[in-house]
Amino acid sequence: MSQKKPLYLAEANVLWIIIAVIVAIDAIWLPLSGITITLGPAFLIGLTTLAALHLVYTRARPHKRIAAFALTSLQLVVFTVAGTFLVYLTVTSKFPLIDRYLVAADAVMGFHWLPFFNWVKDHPAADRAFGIAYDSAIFQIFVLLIVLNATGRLERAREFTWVFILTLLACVILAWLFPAESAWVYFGATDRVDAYHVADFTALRAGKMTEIILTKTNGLITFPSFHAALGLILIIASRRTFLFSVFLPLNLMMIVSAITSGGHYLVDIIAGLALVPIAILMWWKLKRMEASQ
Amino acid sequence: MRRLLNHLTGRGALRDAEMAIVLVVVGAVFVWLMKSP
Repeated sequence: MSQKKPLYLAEANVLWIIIAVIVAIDAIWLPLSGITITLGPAFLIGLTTLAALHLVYTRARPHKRIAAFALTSLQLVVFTVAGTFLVYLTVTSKFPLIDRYLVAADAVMGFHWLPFFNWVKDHPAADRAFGIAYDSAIFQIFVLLIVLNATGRLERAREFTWVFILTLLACVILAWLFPAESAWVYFGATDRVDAYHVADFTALRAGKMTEIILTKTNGLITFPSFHAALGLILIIASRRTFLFSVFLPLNLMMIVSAITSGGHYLVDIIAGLALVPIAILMWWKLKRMEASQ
Repeated sequence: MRRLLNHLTGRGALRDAEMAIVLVVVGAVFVWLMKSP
């Protein structure tokens, strides 16, 4: 009688296939675009370390929680890096910018970006708090994954990984078809912020970027906001753990901070949040398929 | 209490310490890599 694989191992192969498809798209698109990429030795060393730890704790010295964490980290990193290159490539498609439609959508909801931005900038304490919340994303993922794996909530960690990847994938596709420069640029506020993405975004659309250096890449997605989506994902992933009481207010703040610290329109935030339940439904569907096998 | 003491002084504690160290190492590598893009 064959023994059923634990869910975190069986669905991991499906996720590797999705990641491989993204890597393959990059591999085909990059030479066609004439752009080269530089990964750097640090990336390769880090990736090898994670793969080696996964191998050691799967085969040589089995430890389910460590192996699961190494696998989850590996998949998140490989997907994020492949996804980052894909975002850069999609910008070269130069589809029409939709900023004015996003501004119009905000106006329909009664939200006016510039007065809100100016209010935050005129209140340094609020601006700093939003900045800290916005920059806390990776650290929160680090804490969340350690807590989930250390306490044996492996399926929750896998749920987080899947929802993160599916949501980011949806953001990449939507941002490709409906590109926007960001509210910072549209409202001429770039002198009051570090508009880190503008140089790359402009160079890619002008066909002037010939090399993408991984360590110097930036987030180029305006619509929908992945930061807002990630805020909701982190709240949901921390449910019924001691992290929830900290993650709830911090991530509500991160979601709002995407407007000022990320240059997003309000409609970007709403669209980002709307993607999360869809990704969760897909994860549930996958789990049901797995259970019925 | 005896079970806890046995755990803390036995192989279980070593295994837990190993898990804690490796999880932090994996987490640190993860953050380092995710900071790049």
